[in-house]
Amino acid sequence: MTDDDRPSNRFEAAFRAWARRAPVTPADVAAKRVGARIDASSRHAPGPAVWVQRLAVACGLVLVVASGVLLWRNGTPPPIPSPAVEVPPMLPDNVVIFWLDAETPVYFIVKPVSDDPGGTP
Amino acid sequence: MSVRADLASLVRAARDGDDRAYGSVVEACWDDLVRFARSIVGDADAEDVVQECLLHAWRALPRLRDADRFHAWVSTAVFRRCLRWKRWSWWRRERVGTMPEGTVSVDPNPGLDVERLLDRLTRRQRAVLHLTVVEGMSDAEVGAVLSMKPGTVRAHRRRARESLEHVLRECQP
Repeated sequence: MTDDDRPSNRFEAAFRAWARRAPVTPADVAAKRVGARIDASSRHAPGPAVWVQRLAVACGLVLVVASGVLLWRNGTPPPIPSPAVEVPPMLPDNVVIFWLDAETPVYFIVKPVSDDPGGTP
Repeated sequence: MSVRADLASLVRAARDGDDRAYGSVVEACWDDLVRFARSIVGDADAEDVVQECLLHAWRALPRLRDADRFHAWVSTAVFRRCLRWKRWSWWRRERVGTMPEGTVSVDPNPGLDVERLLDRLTRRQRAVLHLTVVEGMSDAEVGAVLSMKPGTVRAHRRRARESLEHVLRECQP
């Protein structure tokens, strides 16, 4: 097999011919199209007044979001204290404590079991 | 050389805001850039890619310091855009299907489906192959356009040729 017969060489010859075809759109037409698009984009390009407006809107949005975050963080109620921390250490075994909120404990006192079977006399 | 010098002076004028000069720049570069893009993304999308690139190049022109490098600079931009280019919608294919008759884009190699064979290669391999085989550039020149080291260029070319050899041998009776 000679070098010219190699498949990749055959491909490269074909590729060269394929790649060198002229574009569908002639260069002068393409130049006019690009020129028209440049004109259009510069006509529609926002002026300085529009940029100032956009900047003001962006700053306003940032302020609103920042104040919202601050309000949310300050308005969050403090966490209910854990009974393990707040319960006095010297509570007797028959006392159970529940916290309704940070300042309102509810004590349940369980009656100790006695030898008296109880019941209706 | 004089063409390059003319191009550089046109680029300088365009950089100073001369729209007409930029039109001449587009005219001078259009064919080369479309051929390059076509080898990477195929017939259907090449002209769209190049048009987008030339539009962005106009906006970025004030940042180009060396007007002599315009062709390489915009070729690099075309290559990068080709790497990112995706066929977003079916209507592009429809549009290509309705190209005017009598255009010059008829495949000159009916025996060898070049575009289908190129589909077996990566876009980087296609770019390397175009600049080497069609433009006749050295590895260093190809590397400068594609932002690759010459060794990487060689590796891409070798893998491209291996893939093509493999496919073409399979197709042979």
